Amino acid sequence: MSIDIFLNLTVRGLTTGAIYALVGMGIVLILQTTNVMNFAQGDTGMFITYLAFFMITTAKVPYSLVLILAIAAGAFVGLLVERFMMRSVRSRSHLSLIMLTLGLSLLFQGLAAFLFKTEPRLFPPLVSGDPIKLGPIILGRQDIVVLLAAIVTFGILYLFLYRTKQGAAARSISQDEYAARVLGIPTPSIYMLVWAIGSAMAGLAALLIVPRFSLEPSFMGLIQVKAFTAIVLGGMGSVFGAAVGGLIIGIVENLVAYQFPAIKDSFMLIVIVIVLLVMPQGLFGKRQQRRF
Amino acid sequence: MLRVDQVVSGYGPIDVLNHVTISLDKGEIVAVLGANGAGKTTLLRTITGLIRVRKGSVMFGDKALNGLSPAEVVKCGISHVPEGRHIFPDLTVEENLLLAAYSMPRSQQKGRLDAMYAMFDILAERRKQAGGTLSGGEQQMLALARGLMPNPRLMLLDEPSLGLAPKIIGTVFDTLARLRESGVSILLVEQNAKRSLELADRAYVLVTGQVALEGTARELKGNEMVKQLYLGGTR
Repeated sequence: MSIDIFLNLTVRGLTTGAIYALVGMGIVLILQTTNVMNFAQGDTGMFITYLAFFMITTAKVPYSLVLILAIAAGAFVGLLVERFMMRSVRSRSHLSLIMLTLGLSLLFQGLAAFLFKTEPRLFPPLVSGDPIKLGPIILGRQDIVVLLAAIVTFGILYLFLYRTKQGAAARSISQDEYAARVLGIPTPSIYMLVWAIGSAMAGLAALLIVPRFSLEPSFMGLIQVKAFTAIVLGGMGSVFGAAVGGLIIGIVENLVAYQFPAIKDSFMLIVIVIVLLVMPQGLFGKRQQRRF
Repeated sequence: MLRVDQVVSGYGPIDVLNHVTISLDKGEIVAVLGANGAGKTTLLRTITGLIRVRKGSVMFGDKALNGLSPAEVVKCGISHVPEGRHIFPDLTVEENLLLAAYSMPRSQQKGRLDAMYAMFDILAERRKQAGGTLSGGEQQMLALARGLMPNPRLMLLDEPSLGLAPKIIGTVFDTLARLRESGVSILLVEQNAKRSLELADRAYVLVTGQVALEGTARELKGNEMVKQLYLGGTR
């Protein structure tokens, strides 16, 4: 592998990794605040992407507007999921909450297959034009958009968590939910807000990655698995860790795929197993942070 | 000011409080004594709205608190300092304080924050430090300051001296005495019956979810049963 190829693989891996990071950060945000592992994160994004597809192809809505509408739709779906599914089950059993997100994932897949059929559709590229050359690195315009979007999202998420009172409230709930309630923090509305933000991120991530694949009800499945790998690597507990984990996974995966194309996807599952065995707290997680 | 009338509440199928009636007037410090499991913490949680009132009523002034969420109860002017302090370990002292005044406009928050720092020097020194790095006594001060942040008319304190060194317990009770001067009413749940009866105006003794005794602190200090059970035997 020449140095040029290595650089190109790395940068392109970075953009894939940015998608894993976006999906993973959304999962960790919801997990940390509401203590629910959202297995429907990927398929929420898939469903939003279908909506975006028809906005573009049928309704001819301009792309930039579709991006905003998709994020808004994601947020709205998150609100509904929290308000009408999670909230009523929350007081009963924790396991049923997690099972509920698995069910939600299947619901989205079934709904998409039923409404939009299962045959793959070609999603028009977000931006057109020739790739851009930066020295030895050749980068598609689409990849640049993905990277920029990930950076901006990360920045907004950071500002939310560390500069707003709602963000501080979300962090406080993740540390001691009982104390947050005692102090009079309206925890239900924080849960709803966090679900909205997390689901909006799912919509954005799916919309950014879909031009690389084709749009079909199962296209986010593998990406969600990679996002989970990113979370495990980053240490479950931190949004920052999920971001770094995602980027690492993206790069490593791309390098592995170049040398050993056949094991590209199974490689990530091996990584999950190894990380869990050797350093279960991940790169940035705290040792043993049990909430249940 | 606070009137808990014939309240029944509890967890799951079990009623912990059985028709409890207590009251507290403005400016008073009222202690609730009782053994573990007598329902002291449950009483505070019921007032704050963390647990639903099953029967009876909780009135604060002329406002019914039944059915309100904890967030709404705080807005009415009641704060709750939970047992075990429950400081957010990874948030700074300042963030801990600000979250206690979550619903307050930003302009007022600043004033309250300054008032807390004026009252608790140690918190001003540690304002950027993570809550989890404070000592037990400092954490208890932070817990009290959090209780004061929303500028409450009534504070519910659950075991503020639990797990603290005797010298620090003294500081905690001195602080409570200072709070009385500032006009805050206090409902105090304490294992440390001797100290609380010295501080309080009146007291109730809870036994298995019912008020077994009530009276002025002086009366209860002289009561044989209280002496036997909570003040370390007879002389």
